[in-house]
Amino acid sequence: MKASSAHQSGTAALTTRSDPGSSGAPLLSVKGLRVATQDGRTLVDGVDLQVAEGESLAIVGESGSGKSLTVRSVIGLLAGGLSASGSIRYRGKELLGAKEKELARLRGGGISMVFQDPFTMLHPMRRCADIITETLRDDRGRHLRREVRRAQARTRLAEVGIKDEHVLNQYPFELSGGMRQRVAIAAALARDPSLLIADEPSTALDATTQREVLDLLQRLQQARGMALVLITHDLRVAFSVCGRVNVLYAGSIAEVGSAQDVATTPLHPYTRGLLRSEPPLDRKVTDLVGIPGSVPSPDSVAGRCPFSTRCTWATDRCRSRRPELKAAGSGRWVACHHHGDLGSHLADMPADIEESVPAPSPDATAVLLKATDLHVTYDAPRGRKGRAVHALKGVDLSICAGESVGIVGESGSGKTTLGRSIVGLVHPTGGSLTLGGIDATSYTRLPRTQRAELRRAAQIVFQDPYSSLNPVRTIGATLGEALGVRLGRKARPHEIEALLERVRLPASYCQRRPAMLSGGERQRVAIGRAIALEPQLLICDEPVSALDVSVQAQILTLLREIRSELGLALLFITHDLAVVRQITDRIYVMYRGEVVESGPTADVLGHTRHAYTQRLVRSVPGAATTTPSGGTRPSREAGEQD
Amino acid sequence: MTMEAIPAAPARSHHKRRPWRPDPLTALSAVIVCAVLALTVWGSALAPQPPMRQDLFGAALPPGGEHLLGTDQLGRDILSRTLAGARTAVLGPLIIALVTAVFSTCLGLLAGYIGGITDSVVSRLADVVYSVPPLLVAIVAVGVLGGGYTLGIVVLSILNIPAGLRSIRAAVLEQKALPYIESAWVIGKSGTHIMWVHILPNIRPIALTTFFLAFTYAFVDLSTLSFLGLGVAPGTSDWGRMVAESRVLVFQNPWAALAPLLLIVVTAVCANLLGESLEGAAAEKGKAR
Repeated sequence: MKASSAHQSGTAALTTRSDPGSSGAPLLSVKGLRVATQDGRTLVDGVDLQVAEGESLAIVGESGSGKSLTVRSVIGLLAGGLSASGSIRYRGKELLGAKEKELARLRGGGISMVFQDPFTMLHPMRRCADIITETLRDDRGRHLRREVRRAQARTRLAEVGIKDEHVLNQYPFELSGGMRQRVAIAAALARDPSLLIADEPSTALDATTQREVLDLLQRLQQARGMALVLITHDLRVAFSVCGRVNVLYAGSIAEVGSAQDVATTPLHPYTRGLLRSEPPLDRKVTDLVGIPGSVPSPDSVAGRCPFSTRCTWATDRCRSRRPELKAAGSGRWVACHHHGDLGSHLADMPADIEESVPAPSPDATAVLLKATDLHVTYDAPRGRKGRAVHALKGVDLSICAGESVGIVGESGSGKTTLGRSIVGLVHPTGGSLTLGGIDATSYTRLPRTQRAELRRAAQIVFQDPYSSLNPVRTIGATLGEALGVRLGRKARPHEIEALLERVRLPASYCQRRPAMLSGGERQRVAIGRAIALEPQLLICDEPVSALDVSVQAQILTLLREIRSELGLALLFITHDLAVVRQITDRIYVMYRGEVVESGPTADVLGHTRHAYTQRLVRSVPGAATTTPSGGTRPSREAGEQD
Repeated sequence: MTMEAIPAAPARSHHKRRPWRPDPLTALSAVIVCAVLALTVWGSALAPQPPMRQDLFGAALPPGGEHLLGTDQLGRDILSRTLAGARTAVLGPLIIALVTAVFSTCLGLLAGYIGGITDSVVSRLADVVYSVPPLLVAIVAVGVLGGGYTLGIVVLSILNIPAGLRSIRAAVLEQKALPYIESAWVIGKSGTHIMWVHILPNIRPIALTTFFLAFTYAFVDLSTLSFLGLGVAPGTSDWGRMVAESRVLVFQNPWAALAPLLLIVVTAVCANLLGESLEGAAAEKGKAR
């Protein structure tokens, strides 16, 4: 509204005037930012960044890269016990060490912020109109009159695409996640800030809503001529929304460049690894693993290149000296000792797999799992009338031995309920379920021997690696327990070690407790526990969605390998279409408790028939703007920059 | 491929297991609690004089000479009585705390894990018992039925169970919903195994809290019973009883009441501090991240 005159025609033109180190008058300039804990651990180690007026900048990094801490220091929201040093200047004014009163004046008016979780971000007991206009005052700092506030709230809601005036009088809990995120954005923009920080604004949302919120942010940023800093772990999101991308790794900056440049010609091995770890949506590739290992803590890589522990091309120089962020072409910066001589390696991309459409095997003997007209209804909570939830409304599903099947859907589609009912964690209220020739519809009524057989037929891996292992037991004890169930006796150490090796973990992990393992390693253990019973069907319920992109690729690769080694069938439940493309032969698309489309993966994703599937495919970041792979195909026309 | 897939062990030095290193205050509390426990066993043996020996001519002597803390109104040595009095003062609360912790943990586990009717029955019973004030009932029961110390222990044991049971049950419910419990069930482990091997170690901090809280409450309650003359038999050297009997001497020999009183306060505070620290250590160990 107020700033609508300053319409940005494009963001690519901004890349030259806003590189780190250059002068001019940037809106926000961060120099040598360090964030440390009280006991001296470093979390952010020397971050420099600049944001020009009206520019959109993405800060991309995995968990532990310090991306959230960086922007939280800017707005003065660091958690207690953390301290920031260095320099943060907003319009030339130093913010670090500024009085709380001055920072408070700046927040909302100059710099505003939108957070990840729309479910806890809004005051639950205030109506949306009040939430949006809470910070508004007139010229003399007085509260606005009621009618003025309402009119303001109405126009601002319209700006974020909510035309329905009822929302003004509604409480946040009455709205969906996407609507709440819109209201939060409207509230953050209430005082027309010149810089909006959005910390993973779409991560907690469903795929289709995610796309709408990102589009909205991009539109607002351009229409208002406002600067936008978008924090994300997803390179595709960064490329689709922002003009310039800052890649953060282990508390320091690895690479800076325009979105297009970084997407087509990454200069840092880490960026290249990230790009390769992002599974493409439009095809199946041979090698998913972009980066081995997981993100180190900044302290453990002090004084050397932070990426040297995982880099294929690391030399002694990388391990003994930290590379500085150096200019590499127009508007591009990279912190790598070898950026000059790695060009050809970095462009090398994995080959595609010829997707074989699996032969439909109606052979009745080979059918491992058959669900017919499966219904699951969750009763209303005690004391409340008539709010029973129909999670599954007549689902038909069949899986043959050795087959890899995906279930795709958003939250609330019933995909998790389906997986859980197969292993007996949820009791179907109707229909039938046959698993390995046994009627598994009512688990609890089966005799002990049949139940034991069902355990051998299907096992499950859950989403959250942090709570799927007993925290007080060692990895050896956890795996030994599962092995013991199959063997009928105590597992021997060498058997546990063999299992660890099967999930590519060193034998020494036997003695460790889960707290000493990273998320990816824990998920390996969880997979190990599931395959310890040598099941015929492994159900994976969003096994990689809680993991970092680079680790995600490792787990997918492991699942592929285990599947071919053991010949087991896989039921892969996910919301991520690109992931499902890489690992399944056949998919079912679920929507509100029903299967709306099914068939060979390449077919369903390539030629969507159902309207919902089409919406799902379109909403993948980068799907409409560039090729879904975000330019990871070696496209030569851009050429080498250095 | 395999080489790539084996991730480097991440440097997570702050997660390394360290031997339990208490802070000075905790260490001091631990030493004092241990000393008091030792007194319950060897207190009488350590007493310089027989704690029951009366000397009416040497009554209410101030500290000094033969009697390090003086004598009470019957001429009994205060130091000896204080040392010997630890037994009844500490043993009773210890029993109460153990019974309370064991019963509330077992019942809480059953109610929380099994749920359904078991949960309803156990929880409603607990609610009923919880609504009864323990000390008041103990006073009435012991006053009407006699039976003194033993009955006091029985009554306080039973009436202290619900408080612990409730928090244990809540903790079990929280654990039960976590995937690691579901995984154990899916690989075919029995309910008993899951309760004992998986849930119990993870609710240990709460069980510890229950134990130490019950100990402190019972310690003060039993001392109060003794003070009111309802606990141990008259003449027994017991801290609560000593405070009651010697309060008339507070101007002739303040130590007669002060020594047991101080020990009651110090023991209660130290037990609490130690409990808190142990809980903290147990919770740290059970942390998922």
